[in-house]
Amino acid sequence: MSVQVLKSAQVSKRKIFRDMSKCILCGKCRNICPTDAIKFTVEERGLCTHCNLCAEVCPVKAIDSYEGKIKPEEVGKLYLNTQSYADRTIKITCVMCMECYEKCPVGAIQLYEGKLRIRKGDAHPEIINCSLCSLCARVCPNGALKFEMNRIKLNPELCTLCGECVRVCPPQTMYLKDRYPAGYCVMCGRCIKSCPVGALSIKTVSWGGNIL
Amino acid sequence: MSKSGDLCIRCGTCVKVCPTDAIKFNPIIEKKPVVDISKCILCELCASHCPVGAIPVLNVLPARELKRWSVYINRNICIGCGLCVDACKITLKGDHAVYLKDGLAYVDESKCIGCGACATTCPTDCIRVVKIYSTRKVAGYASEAVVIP
Repeated sequence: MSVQVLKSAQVSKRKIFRDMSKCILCGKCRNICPTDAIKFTVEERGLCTHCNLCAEVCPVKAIDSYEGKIKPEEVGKLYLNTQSYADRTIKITCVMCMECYEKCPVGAIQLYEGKLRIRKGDAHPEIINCSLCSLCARVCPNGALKFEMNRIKLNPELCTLCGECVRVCPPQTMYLKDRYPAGYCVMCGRCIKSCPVGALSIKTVSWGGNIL
Repeated sequence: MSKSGDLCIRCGTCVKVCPTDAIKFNPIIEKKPVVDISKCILCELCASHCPVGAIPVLNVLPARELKRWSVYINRNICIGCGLCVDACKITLKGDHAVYLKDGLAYVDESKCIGCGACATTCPTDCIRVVKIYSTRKVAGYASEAVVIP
């Protein structure tokens, strides 16, 4: 079995690229992803990951928000500087609408002596997003999932709910939501806009097939 | 290409995990696996499974840790050719965990690093290596166990 490989041959694909040296593992991209293509796991639930979602949903601005005051790069520094961020509290203007309590993705906002408070700490988070490998589209027996124009599309009329796409997914972001597959990246780019430190970008990654 | 053959330990894990059969490897006549670029879909499963990092991780999947492994040698079919010993010498750089005794292959568990190079090289498929990867960091492929061959 001889395979002819040209020296200049390369395989390339446009992907959502996560710069792990910049990523602060806040999980905000997961909260904003419309298709749940980003998987965010924490070892311990109930600890603040500094995603800033509570400050955004608060109707009376009772939670400190750096939005609009400081440039995005500086927000990232504030996120990293736990000393300054640990001071975040819920102010006295809180009207107990429980909006932040319901929206917090890790359940870090708790009721304590009749008041809301944020529990701080290190939850050891891990984050992984759909790698757009198109393996789910390859194994789909009916052609319900298709990989076209660098994004994955689902035709629910053809889907027979077999769940084969969930079994093969390499980063396991795929899951069955209301019996239909969900958790595939559609390259909408909302996560890139939401990232407070600019760790996400659309990048063409390529590999020449060299094994060192 | 001066680095070629330095990192790769010819274990054949990438061949087993590739979902599209883009990687082919004949350990007896080839130095390292050959990639058919037209079949590769950049899923990076091979890169995350590679025990020595010979395949670069480009985007998402971080490298996996080998949690535990087991080597089983069926000595009823072993022909004592010694190819597994040669393969192990490349991996462990001179030292070898697989050795021949009375014309049959045995494995020294204390030296074995569980790469699977012996099982890939074996012409009679009498060696079987089961590798279990840790799934804490990567949610991972549904079958995190790799069986060679």
